[in-house]
Amino acid sequence: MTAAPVVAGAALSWLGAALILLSDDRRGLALGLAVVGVGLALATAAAGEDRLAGAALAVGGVGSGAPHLGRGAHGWGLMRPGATPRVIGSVVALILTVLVAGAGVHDLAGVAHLGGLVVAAMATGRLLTVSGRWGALGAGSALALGLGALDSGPTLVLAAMVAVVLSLIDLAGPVEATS
Amino acid sequence: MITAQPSIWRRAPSPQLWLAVGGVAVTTAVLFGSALSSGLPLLDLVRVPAPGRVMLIAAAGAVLLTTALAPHRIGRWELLGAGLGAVGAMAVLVAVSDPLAVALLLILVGFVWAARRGGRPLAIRVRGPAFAALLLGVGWAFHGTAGPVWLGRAAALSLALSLVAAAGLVPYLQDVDPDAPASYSYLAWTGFFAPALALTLPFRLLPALTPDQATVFGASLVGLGLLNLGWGVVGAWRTGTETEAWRCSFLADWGLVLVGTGLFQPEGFAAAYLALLAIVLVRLPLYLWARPALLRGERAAMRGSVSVLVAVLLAGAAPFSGFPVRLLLLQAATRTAWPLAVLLLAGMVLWIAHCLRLARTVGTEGRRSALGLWLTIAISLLLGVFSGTIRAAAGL
Repeated sequence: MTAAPVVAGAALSWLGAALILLSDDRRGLALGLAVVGVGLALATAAAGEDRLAGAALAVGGVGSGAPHLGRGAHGWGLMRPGATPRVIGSVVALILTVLVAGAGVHDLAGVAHLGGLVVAAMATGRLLTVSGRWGALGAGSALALGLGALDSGPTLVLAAMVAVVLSLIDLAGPVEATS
Repeated sequence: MITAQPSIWRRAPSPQLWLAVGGVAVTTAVLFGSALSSGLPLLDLVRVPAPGRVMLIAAAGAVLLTTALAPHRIGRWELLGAGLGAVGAMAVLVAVSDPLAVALLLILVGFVWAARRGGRPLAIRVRGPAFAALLLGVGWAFHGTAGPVWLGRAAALSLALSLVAAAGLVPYLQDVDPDAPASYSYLAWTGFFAPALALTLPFRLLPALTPDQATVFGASLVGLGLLNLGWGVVGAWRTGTETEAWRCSFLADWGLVLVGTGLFQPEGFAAAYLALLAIVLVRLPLYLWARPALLRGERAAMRGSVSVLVAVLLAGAAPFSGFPVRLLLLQAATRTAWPLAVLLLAGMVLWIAHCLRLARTVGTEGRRSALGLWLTIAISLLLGVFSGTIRAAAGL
């Protein structure tokens, strides 16, 4: 096991969470969820977790993002005017997570957990500030994926299932224009 | 034939029916399945502690009581479906033994519950359970890391706060819209889902915490409990609206629960258990009986003697459900540190100030509603008189 794929996976998951935080449209959210899922899957699998369980995270990320592609306005909604506080927030969340939780990291699994933690923290931040239905559901999916990556085995699969079910809730409701 | 069909469906709408059937099926599976699964590999993942089992039965009873007999503005089928579905969700939360899996299920239950049409927007209604899930997940993930001592302590604090966030207590108070039906407001979490979590989570968490972390966890619960007790009794007495006074009375009840749990004494756990049962079986039903008067913004039309009886019940006087809770809690607190018992006693004395105010809002509309109110009073009496038997049923 080498550290590079774990660190790359954790960094990718942070990038995905930042996309979710910065997007005001469904395409950006879908891309963010997919990147979060793939990043966390890469980090957990490279850290020695069961690869099938790790793959479930990737499937969960892509599966929870996909339903958003066919609904609402077809834009990315990234970095719209007024997004500066969220850009700063995503960088501060990364720094704070590494400073606070990094003290407990002694192995590669710890690095993968850092990726999950930063995703969970940023997804909760999005959830607490968003007002629209689909934005909240997308942030909820990311929160589930992030929390799932903090554990191993069956919990990863459960996290992927929860993420996908949340995106299906959106399909049952009316289409909303804004997040 | 063509005109008759819609009226039948209005009486028993299929989504609510399926939700009710699903909730009953899941609850039955959890109640009886865990006893039968002793030889199965899933035993470690699904296990229902005895207090959780009693709570599930109590919650199902509360749903049937309030759906059938409480005064409502929305359809009873809808309430029955939502209520039994909620008991099913509660059963899953109680049964799953891995705290991180519980955190994930909290997210799922929170979103599914908030996705029902009506009440406040989904994005606002999910904030409490989602934040609770974050605190629980992060606390659990970091309690066992081989890091510095302060990280373990922070994890224990996070675990204690997760319970408070799930119940929507101080400092995570959620807005309660006075006009929204009770099942759509956050009181559904305070009075229904969170009691099940409070009964099972400490039993899951405590064996895994180090003595240092357990001390932080317990001290946080006691501190938050005293804060909620104080906030609750003063708020219910002095706040401007009766709806807010009822919400504060839930906080006061939860204050006793948190202190009882945080003391780590058998009497404390027993007090918390009895208080949680009283929240689900007495406080929440009485709130539903108070709703018509709260919506009208005036006192309920009920005989003064009945109001006094309800006030005595709410004050926690003998022989009602609140009395053994207070007795056990003071016993546990005296054994731990007498100044704590003095603080609790002060809170309990202040508690009396708001009881008549709340009791005046409790009223009945017709015979069915009156029967339900008397049944609730009888349940409170049973909880108070047979508290020893009820404790024994949960092994406490």
